[in-house]
Amino acid sequence: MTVDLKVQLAGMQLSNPTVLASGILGTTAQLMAKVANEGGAGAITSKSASVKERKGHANPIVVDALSKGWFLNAVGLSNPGVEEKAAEIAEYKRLTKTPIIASVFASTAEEFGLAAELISKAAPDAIELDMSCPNVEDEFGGLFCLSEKASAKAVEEAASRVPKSIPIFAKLSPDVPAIELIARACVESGAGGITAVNTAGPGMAIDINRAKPILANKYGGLSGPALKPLAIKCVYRIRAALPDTAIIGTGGVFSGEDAIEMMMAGASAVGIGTAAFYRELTVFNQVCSEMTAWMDANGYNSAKQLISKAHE
Amino acid sequence: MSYYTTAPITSVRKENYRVNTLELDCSMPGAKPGQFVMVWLPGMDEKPFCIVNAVPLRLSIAAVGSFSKKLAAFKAGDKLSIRGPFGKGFWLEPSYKSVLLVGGGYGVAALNFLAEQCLAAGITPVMVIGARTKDDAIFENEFTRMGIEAFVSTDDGSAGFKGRPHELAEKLISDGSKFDCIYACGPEKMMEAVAKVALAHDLPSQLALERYMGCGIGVCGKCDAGGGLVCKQGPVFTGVESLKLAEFGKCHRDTMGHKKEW
Repeated sequence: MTVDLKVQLAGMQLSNPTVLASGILGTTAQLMAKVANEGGAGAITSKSASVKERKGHANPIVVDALSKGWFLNAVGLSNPGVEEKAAEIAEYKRLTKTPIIASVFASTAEEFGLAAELISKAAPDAIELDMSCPNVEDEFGGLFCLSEKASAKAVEEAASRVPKSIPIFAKLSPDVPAIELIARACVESGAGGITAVNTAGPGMAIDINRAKPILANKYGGLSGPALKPLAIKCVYRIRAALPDTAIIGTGGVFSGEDAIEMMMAGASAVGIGTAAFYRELTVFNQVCSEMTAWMDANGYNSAKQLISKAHE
Repeated sequence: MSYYTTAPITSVRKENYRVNTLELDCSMPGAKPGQFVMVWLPGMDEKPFCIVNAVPLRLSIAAVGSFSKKLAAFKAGDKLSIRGPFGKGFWLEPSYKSVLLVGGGYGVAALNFLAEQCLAAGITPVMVIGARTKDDAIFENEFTRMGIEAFVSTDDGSAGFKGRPHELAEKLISDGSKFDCIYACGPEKMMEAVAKVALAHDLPSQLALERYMGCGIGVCGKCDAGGGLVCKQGPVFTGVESLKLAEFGKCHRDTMGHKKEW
């Protein structure tokens, strides 16, 4: 039996459901193209860009405790500004045909609109609004996506300033009591899809030999296997509330079985971030072959059959 | 958690006006030449440094920025916190009999460990110590003490061969020395020139690249050299691989990702 991994995501045709999550490796055009062409990702999300350049946090920016099931990062949204990012995306499009989702972040709804408009000039296949980075709350006075109203406003601004052909995804935080309400507000304001979830927390780790927090920012977003159950719950609840919305399910996906579980919870595609470090760039190919093997053994011939299976 | 290995410095050796070598009270027996460690100064920053020796661990610090200047002032007894080793190091092929090591500036330090491993593997290393002036040349005694033939090149002719290290490499080969591979560590333009010398003589080469580094483990993407993550697929790339990287010999990136010409 042959297994078909192709899926559709808000109008994009993906050769397989794996998507490079934002913030991981999404810096240069050549690196993103390598993840697509050699790694096998079905789509790429570029690292978040803002209207103005941003330095981000000093090192250390990561704590790798994957042997214990978790990982912290606090890169602090360092980026060269949305215009240089647009140039990378334009160059990426010359190197590969794999769809690219351009991630932007901002501190006001108005600025989300401007960032989305500027990045849309590079003609990405979709735009993701990072409304939920847990590492920058102090400056921005709280996450956008904690409030239905603020989230809706950011989506509305962005959707009004980019061509209709470019769907807007809202990337949400798991740290809310009812993520489906935020997701619904975003979709009603024009979002073509939801990315769920961003890293959780933030969390913290202390090096006991130095008696100091490890991260320069002290706190960092939690990812890795520990995030998966939260992500599965969030995707499940969003899917239950929004049966027809495109969802990129992200959080703790390391294997084909994890990806299948995420799709059964309701994801149309599956974001992979931390695992791209743990299992190398080819994690996307590895996850796809693991999915194929499991589906083949269990009587599924299309990845589309997996979507929302746990809701039936 | 004990995320870093924290160990006291046992001795500090001054190499020249800006380079110090720190010996630590710890070892990394599995480390390979060309690999690096991340050194953490709590409250300040964390930066990559190449491994000069693994047992005991020795690191050479060139005081070039605010972090390395602070580190250069460290004394015996001060504690250092490190994690690693990371990245892909240099490798030797069993068929090699003689190899040329070309270092530029403080890049010479990274080749010390490789020279040691060549000797252990029965391969004869020949060393080119490239420097701007005689005051910049480091580790000559270290190599000669190991019985390794070491040639100094200086840009201004104040010591040894007058010219660039790749020109001295070219001269050694043209004069009849036979090498199975050329290894280089130093300024990127120099390594690019060395890679081209190797190609012209149909020799393989391996280069240790340097980039601004964030995570050090292949997550953040800040050290990409245009299609190759220096922290993970590197820092050692073959000359052929390096010349295919879109930014090799052309530019590097700052912490935000802006391109900076070499």
